[in-house]
Amino acid sequence: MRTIDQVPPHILTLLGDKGFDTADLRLAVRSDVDMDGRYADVWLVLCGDDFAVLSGYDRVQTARKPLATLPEIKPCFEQLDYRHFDFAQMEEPKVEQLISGNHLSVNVGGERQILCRFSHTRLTDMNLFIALFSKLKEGGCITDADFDREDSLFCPKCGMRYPDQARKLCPKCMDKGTLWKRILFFFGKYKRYVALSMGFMVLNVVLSIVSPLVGSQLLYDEVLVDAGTPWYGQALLYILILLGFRLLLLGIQVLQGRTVAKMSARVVYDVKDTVFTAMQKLSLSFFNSRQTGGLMNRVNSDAQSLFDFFVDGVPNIAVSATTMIGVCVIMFTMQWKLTLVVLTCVPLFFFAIRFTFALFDRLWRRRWSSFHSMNSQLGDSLSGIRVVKAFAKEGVEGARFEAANARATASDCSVRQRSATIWPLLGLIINVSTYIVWLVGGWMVVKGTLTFGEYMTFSAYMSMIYGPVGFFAQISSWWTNCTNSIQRIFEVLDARPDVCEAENPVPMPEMQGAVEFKDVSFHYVVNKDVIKKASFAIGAGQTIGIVGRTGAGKSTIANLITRLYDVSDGEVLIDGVNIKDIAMEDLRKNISIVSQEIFIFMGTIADNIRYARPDATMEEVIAAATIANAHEFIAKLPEGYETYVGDSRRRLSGGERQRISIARAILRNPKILILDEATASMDTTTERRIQEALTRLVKGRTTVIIAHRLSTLRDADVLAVIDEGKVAEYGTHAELFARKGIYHKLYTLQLEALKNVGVE
Amino acid sequence: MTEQELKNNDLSQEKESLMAVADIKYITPENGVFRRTAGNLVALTFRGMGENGADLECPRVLLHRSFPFTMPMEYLSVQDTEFNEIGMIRDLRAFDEQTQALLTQELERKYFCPEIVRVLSVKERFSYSYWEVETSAGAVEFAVHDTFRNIIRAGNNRVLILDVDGNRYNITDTDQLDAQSLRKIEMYL
Repeated sequence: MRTIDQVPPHILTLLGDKGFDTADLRLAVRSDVDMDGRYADVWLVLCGDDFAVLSGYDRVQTARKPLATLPEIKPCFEQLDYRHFDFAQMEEPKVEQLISGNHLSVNVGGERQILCRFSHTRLTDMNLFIALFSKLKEGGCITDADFDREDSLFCPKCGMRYPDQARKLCPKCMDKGTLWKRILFFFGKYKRYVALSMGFMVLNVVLSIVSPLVGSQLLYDEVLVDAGTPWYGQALLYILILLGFRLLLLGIQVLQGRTVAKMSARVVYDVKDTVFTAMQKLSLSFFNSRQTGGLMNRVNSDAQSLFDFFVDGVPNIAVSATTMIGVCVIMFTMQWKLTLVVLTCVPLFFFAIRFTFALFDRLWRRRWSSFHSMNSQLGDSLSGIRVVKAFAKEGVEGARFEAANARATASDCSVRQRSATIWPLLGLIINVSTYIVWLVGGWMVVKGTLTFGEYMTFSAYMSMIYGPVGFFAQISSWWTNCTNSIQRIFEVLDARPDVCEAENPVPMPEMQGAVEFKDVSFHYVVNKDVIKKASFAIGAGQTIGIVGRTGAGKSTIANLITRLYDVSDGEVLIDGVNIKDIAMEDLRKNISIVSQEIFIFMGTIADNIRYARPDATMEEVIAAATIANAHEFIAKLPEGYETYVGDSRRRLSGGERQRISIARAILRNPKILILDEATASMDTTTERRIQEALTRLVKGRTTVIIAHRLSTLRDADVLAVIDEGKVAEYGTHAELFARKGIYHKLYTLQLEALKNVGVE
Repeated sequence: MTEQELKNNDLSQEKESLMAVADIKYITPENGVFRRTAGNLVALTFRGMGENGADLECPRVLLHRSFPFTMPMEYLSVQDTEFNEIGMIRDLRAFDEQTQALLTQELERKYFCPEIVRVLSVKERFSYSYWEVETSAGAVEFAVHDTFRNIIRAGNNRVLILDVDGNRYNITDTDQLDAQSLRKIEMYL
């Protein structure tokens, strides 16, 4: 028998001892917190008609850890509490979601009882438990289909919890090779550049390694000393050769740098583009669960850190590694004893660098966060300057800024002071090790086991070692940063939109505009239905007014018609076709929405109005603006329709912004127009004028008007009152008024308010 | 009266009228009796607050903290099952010990937030960190997404950690942690 959590044999034995018929196990789930708020193992088991709540500490497996990760120990369960219920008496199980703990409660003989507590980690399982419990209660049978969900919360390989349930990807077991391979895919287009830069790199390394042989050994042992070679005394020739060599090296380095920079910049451009395009395709829910700042980061800084890695990182790894190996080989062949002396100092330097970078990483981070908070403090006070002045709080703001400023200064000071100390100390390590080599090497030269030229060459090689060593000491943190970025980029690229187009979408270029809701339920958060089995129909060309309290679910209905979200249950039909089957492009083309949240893009007013139909003529733009009553104020602006707005340029008032967005929606010329509190910030006269113009325009168009003010809805053919996610009342104004329900109450209240101020 | 005293008087009168207009119903030991129900829930009898001055019987009440961080035991909102406020408790400590214990337990259930006493390990893997800690409620492991953003500073050294499921963990004073634990989490603070 399949249950939510598999009951281990020793628990079954324990239940058997209490008189349960464990052969008839019907349902079992495990919670992780006991009634006293300690992590424990609480089993809720239904066998036959007996229901048990058994809590205790499991010595074998805890609720938070899967069995697979633990070695086998003799089963043992330390029982703390045991309660028994009669299944027949248990009614209405409910998950009560509290701030950060949850209850599972049930009615037993008319009295509500808490069955168990559990943490958010168990929420999905508990919701499933309730669904199955109710199903059994109604006499249903549990089938495998009821467990139709991505089974485990844990990675089957290593037992680590999946960080993101929507994406079964275990960071530990994820094939990092694949990740890199996919990044390399971006480089595929630039094969020529890759080959070219590799070639330059090899040349660069070889020349760098050879240069001390030419630069020091040749000079000291053959040019300056008569060693029987033709080089003796050829100082000018030697210098010319040296200069040529340097120029060659320089040329290669410049070419290599330029090639890599060009290639990487293009790759990063590709990555940014791909990420941004992928992001645009995702459903709204992706953006709701992530902060905009984090997303902007993803496009910019993650791509940037990839850039850094490929421009600085990859070539540096290759160059450093080959240089180090090459230099070591040459040094060993020249004089292995002295090489050993050199190498003894290297580990010290390696660890010193590592320590320093770890320390500074922390200090810089602290500095960054204190500067960040100082800046936001500054921004806060300045943008709220009206309120500051209105309450005469200039002094307080000054003090707040001073405190933030002091913190930032202190952290900045500590970074600078420490770097002023540590870097010279690191230099000292290099100096001392050089002195040691000079000492040993000098002694060897005096004894004649080493020539002076070799000695000088050696010194040159020694200095070449520290660069790569320092680089490798800090590469690990760099590597982690970069893999993190790559992973985050692929998180976006791999995310599947929740709302996707059907495989064979129905093309509907010309809609009639009849909208129907059939038993529609919807939730943003599991188990918290915002819309509960709502059903209603809007005929083609009709105007429907939707009223209801704040938070009743009015805007959600608009979101469902435009298919920004998909319904959780039931269906939304347009002209009798399920909205999920309609081609996305046709759907968007035929529906326009003016939502509560108005966004004005950076650009001119004309651009903003033309946003949805860039091919509209300016005459059409003016017409749309006139209908939206926006023309009047736009015409008064010094730059007219070419006034630059958005992004804190020119400040438009709430009503002005609303009018521009109405113009934008009208210009689209949609079959279905949704106005979600579109005129809320306007005075009644302006609203009235827009409505009159709209009425002429909306003939033959389906219009959905969502509003608080009932006067906004006076032209509606039919009204729907939404209350707690349900369509509470539906009908014409006269019908609803006669019903003396919610609408009647709202209407009389608003009418009275108007009477009181003497309007009607 | 001096001018200053006059002004103060004005101010206190203003304050008085603010309170009068808001008309918040405070539940005190004199007018409210809390008790545990058979189903392990909390019931309230609010004297003289029902219709026509009768006692208001609430078979189940829920508690909500107004200042969960700084005043966890003060200004508690007492609500019915529909989350409508019945009244407020100014300070829980004014009640007898039994009531205090009852309501504290109820609050603790709602604000289940184990106190981290020791950090055993924190491993960063991509944009998630995996924590192994000992808490006041026992040892536990959890994962945190985007660690910097999900560690919330609440006051000077107080820190709240939100894991991927929305569970909360508390560190009342980071300076009180042992040096090894502190070092493991320091970079996130």
